[in-house]
Amino acid sequence: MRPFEYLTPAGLEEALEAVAERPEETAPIAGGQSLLLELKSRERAPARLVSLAGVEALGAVSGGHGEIRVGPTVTYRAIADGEAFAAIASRSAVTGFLTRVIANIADRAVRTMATVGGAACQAEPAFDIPVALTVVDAGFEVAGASGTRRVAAHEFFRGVKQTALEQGELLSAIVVPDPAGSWRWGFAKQGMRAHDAALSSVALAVRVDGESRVECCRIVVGGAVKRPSRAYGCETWLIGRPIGEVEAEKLGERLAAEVVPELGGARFGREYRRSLLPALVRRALEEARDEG
Amino acid sequence: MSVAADRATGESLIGRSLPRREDLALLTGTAVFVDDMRPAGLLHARILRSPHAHARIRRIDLEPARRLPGVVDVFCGADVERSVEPWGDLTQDILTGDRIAFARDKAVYQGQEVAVAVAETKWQAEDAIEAIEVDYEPLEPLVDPEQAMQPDAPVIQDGVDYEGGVGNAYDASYRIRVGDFEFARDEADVVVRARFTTGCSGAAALEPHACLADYNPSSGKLTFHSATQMVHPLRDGLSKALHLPRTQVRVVAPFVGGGFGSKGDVFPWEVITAVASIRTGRPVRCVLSRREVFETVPGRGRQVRYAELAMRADGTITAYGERVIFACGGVSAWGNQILRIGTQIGMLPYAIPNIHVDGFAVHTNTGPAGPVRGFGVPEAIFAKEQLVDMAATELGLDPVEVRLRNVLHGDDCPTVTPLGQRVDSTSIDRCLERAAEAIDRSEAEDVGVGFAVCMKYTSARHPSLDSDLASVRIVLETDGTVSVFSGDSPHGQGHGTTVAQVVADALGVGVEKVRVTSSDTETCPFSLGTWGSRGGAILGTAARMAAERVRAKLIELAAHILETAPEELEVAEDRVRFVGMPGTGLFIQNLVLLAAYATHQLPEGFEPGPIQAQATYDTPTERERSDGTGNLSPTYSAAAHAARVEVDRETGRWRVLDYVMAHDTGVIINPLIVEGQHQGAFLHGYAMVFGEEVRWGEDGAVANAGFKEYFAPSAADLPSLHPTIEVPAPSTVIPGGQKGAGESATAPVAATIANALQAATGVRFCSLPIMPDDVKRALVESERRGAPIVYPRDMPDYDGPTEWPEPEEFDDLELID
Repeated sequence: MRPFEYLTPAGLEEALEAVAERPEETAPIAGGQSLLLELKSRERAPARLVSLAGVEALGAVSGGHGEIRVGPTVTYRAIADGEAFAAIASRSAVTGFLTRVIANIADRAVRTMATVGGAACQAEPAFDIPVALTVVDAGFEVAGASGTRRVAAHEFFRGVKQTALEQGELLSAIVVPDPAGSWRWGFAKQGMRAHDAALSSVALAVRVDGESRVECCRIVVGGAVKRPSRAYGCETWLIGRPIGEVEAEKLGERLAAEVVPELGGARFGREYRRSLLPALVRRALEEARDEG
Repeated sequence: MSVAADRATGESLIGRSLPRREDLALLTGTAVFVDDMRPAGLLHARILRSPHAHARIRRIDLEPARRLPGVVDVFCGADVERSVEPWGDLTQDILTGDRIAFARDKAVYQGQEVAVAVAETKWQAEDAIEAIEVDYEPLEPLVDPEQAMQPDAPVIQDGVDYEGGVGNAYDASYRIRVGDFEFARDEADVVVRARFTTGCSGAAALEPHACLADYNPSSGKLTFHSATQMVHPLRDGLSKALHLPRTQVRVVAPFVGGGFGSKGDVFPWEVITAVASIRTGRPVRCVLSRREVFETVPGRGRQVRYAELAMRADGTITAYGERVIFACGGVSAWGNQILRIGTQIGMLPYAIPNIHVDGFAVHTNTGPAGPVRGFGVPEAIFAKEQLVDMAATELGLDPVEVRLRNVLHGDDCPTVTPLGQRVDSTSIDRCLERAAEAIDRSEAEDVGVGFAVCMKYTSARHPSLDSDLASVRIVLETDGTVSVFSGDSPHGQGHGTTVAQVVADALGVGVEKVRVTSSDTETCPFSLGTWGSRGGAILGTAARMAAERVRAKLIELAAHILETAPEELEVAEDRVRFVGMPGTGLFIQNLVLLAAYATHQLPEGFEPGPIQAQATYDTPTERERSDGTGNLSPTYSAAAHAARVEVDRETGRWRVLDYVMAHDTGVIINPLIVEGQHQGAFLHGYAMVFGEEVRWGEDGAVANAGFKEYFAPSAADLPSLHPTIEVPAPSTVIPGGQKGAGESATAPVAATIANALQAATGVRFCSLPIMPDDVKRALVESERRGAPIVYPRDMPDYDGPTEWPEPEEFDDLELID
C-alpha cells in the first residue's frame, strides 16, 4: 500500500466533485473487495480514495414502473439476506433470481463488504454480477459533471476490467427491468473451489408463451470470455421450442461450438473452460424450468 | 474443580480429552504472535528479492534507498560478507555453504534475498527496496529436475563442493540395496511400473513467517522472537552464523500460527533481521508477505519416481524398485533428508524382501524444498500404493486382500523388516480390516472405492542428525504448583495441555496446577524442536521421566517425615499418601515448603532448595547404513484409509462421498487433540490431490503466489469425516506406549483417492495434484483410444532394469468434439 488521502463525501454531488478533481490519481471505493487487494500489492496506488459509503442515494433500492433501481453500494449481504428487495413487489421473478445468484458468490465475509456496483465497475470476467446483470438486461446510470446518462449492459461491459465509465464519472444506479410476462431465469457457474470466482458461467433468461414455448430469450456466457457475451445463435435456436422439451445436450453442444473462449488462466486453459459450457447451460436451463 | 488422576478408581489423566488450554487465548484474540508485538523503537525490514530465477548480479546500488525518508539502514550481501558465515553445518551430511543470507554474485531462485531496507514504517521500507537498483544478467533457468540432471546442464551451485554430488544432483549417493532385486523381479508373476510425479505443495500455514530481533547494544545480547518450530537449533544456527556466543542469543517463539514443517529451519530472513538489529541497535521486525512465503519458504518440492513393483500370483509383493529424482530448489535445505527418510519409511507397512532404490536430490532454479507434513512419505506412498493396486488388478485379486497378505501383522511384532526397521507393535492389519468394513463398496456408475495403507515414523534419527532427543525440566513451586519447562517448540499441537496431563498424572496433582512453558532457549532445556510427530511420544517421555524423578524425591522426603518406607507411599490428590489410603500423608505443597524454608527437617543427603529434575529422552534408534537400511524410528504409527469417490464426467470434478480412516496411534494422551491432528493431517494429504501446488513457469517464476490461485481447499471443499477408528497397538519401546499422531493421516490420502479414481474411471492418475481439467482430459483421451489410460503420460513397454524409455506425450486434446 502507499499513502493516500481518504475522502468521505456525504452526497452524490460532493462525491462527483471529489472524483472529478484529480481523476487520474483518484479512485472511488465502495466495498473495497477488489481495490484493497490491488492497493496492498501496489498494483494500484491512487493518491486519493473517495469513499461512497456515506452517500445515501447510492445505497437505495426502489421499484415501480416496470423496473427496479438498485443503488450501486448495496451489498451482496443485503440482497442475499432478503433485506434489499424486501419492500419491492417484483412482478417478474427477477429479484429472486438475483438473490439466488448473489447469495452464492464467494463467502460470507466477502458478501458482507462487497457491493453490486463495485463488482459491476470492476468488470472481472470471472465475476457473476456482470453476467447476471447482462442476462436481466440491466441499464447503468452513469453520473458525471455534465449530468447523467444511461448505458445498456452490453455497452457498459467493454472488456477485462473495462467499462463505459469515463474518468470522473460514477455509477449512480443499476436499473433492472421488471418485465411483465412469464420470464424465467437460470444461472450456473463452475470455479475451482467452493468460494472461487467462475472459470466459466452461463446465465439464461427465457420468456415463454401460453403454451410454454420460448418467445424470447437471452443466453450469456461469462468467465471464459473478456466480457459477458450473448450467444445469439443459441438464442435463435431456442426460440419457438417448448421449454420443457428443449434437448439440453444439443443446446450445450451448440453453445460450446458458438462461444469462443478468450481467456485461459495459468492453470485452466480455454479448452477446459469451453468444455464446461454444456453442463453449465444444462444446469441453467434446469433452474429456469424448475422455476416455471 | 481439580482434574486429576484418581488412583482409587485407577483412572488416569492419560486418555482424557481435556480441552486445549491454548484455545482461550486463540479464540479471544489475545494470543500474541510475532506481528502483534510492539516493542518501543521498533523498525521494519523489507527484503528485496531476485525477480529472476537464475541471474548473475552485476551491481547493486543501495544509495537511492538510503536517501528516502524514514530509512534507517540498507544493506546487502557485500556489507555482511565478513560478519555472517554460511550456516547449516550443525547437522551432518547436509553439506552446505549454500545457506547464505543474501545472494551475492548469483541468484538461484526467484525470491532469493538480495538486499534489505530497514525503516521506521513497513511502507517506508517497501519504498526503499523499490528504490534499490540491481543490474542482473539473466541466465538460463533450470526448472525441471530431470533436465537439471542432464550432463550438459549448467551447474546452479557452481561455487560449492558437495560430497557425493554430481553436477546439479548435489546428493547423488542415495541407494537402497536389499536382497536380490533383479532375480526377484525376473521370477515374479507380474511386474507393474509407472512414472509418478508429485507437485510442490507448500505448507500454507496461516501465519506467514515472521521474526523480531532485539539487540541490546549495552549488554550485547540478542533476543530473537520467531515463528519457529525449533528454538534451540535456531539459536545455535543464528549464533554460529553471527559469531555470537550462545549465551548472548535468546530465541523465543510466541504463539505460532502453524508450521507443518515449513518453520523448522534457520532462514535467511532470520539472519538478516538479526543483523539489522545489531547494526541499528534497535528492534527490527520482518514479516513475510504471502507472495514471499510461496516464493521462498520451502514446500514439498517436485518428485519424479520411476517405480516398479513385482508380485507373485498369490499376491505377495516380492520386489520394489525406484529411481527418485527430487527437485530441491536452488539451495540444499532439507531436501536429501526428505528423499532418504520418505523413501525408506514409505516402503512400510510391507516387509519387502528385495528393494533397489536410486535417489537423487537435485538443485533446480525454484524455491527450496523442505519438510511439509509427512516428510516425503506421502510422495512415496502415492507411487507404491498405486502399484499395489495395479498388480492386484493384473492378477485379478482384491486390493484389500492383497494388502492384508502383505502388511505386517500385529501378532508377529516385534519384527524387523528386511530394510532394518524394527516395528515394535502394530495394528495395521486390523486397521485395514476395519476400514474395509466401514466403507461402502457397492458398485455405482462413475463411483469408485480405493484403499491405501502406510506407516509413519514417530520422530526419527535423521541421517543428518545423530540425535533424536527431547528434554523437559520440572520445578515444584512452594505453593504446590508445578512449573514445566518443555524443550520443544509447539505451534498448534497443544503441548501445553498434553505435557501437563503427563506431568500431572505422574505427580498425582490436578492438571490445573501444572503450567507448561515452551519455546524459550533461556528457560527451557535443549531439544530438537517440534516436527516429525515427535511431541506426544518423545517429549511426552522426557516429561514422564522428569516427573518420575521429582516424584522419587517427594516420596523420599515424605518417607523421612512420616517415618515410613518409600514403598508404602504413592502420589495422589496433590499429596504423598499411604498406598490406597485417601486423605493420608502430606500435601506436596508442604514438602516443597520444607525443602525451601525448613531445611533442617530434610533427611541427610537430601539436596535443599527447589525440588526439581530435568530429563532427556533420546530414542533407541539407529543411524542410516550405507545400503539404506536401519531402524530410524523408535516406533511406527499406522493408517489404513478408504475412499468412495464420484467423478463428474462432464466437468472432470471428483467428489469424495465417504472417507474412512483407521489408525494405530498407540496410547493416546489426549484423544481430542489427536483427532484434530488426524483431521488436519488428512487435510494436508487431501490438498495434495485437490489442487495445492506452487507452479513455476519455464522461466522459473512462480505463477500462483497467492491463495487466489494456489488452490488450498477451504472447509467447504472438504468431505465431512467420521471420527477416526483408533485401533491402538501400544508402543513397546516408548515407555508410555505412545506413537506419533501428526502425520500418519497425511501419507495415504493421495494414493487412496487416486486408487478410487481409477476404480471409478479406469484411468490411472500418476501425477499430483489431480485437478478437474486433468480428469476431463484423461477421460476424453481414454474415450478416444477406447481403453483406459495412464495419465498424464503413458509408459510404453518396459525395457531393461535401469534405462527407462522416453514417455509418450499426448497431443493437445480437443476436450469437445
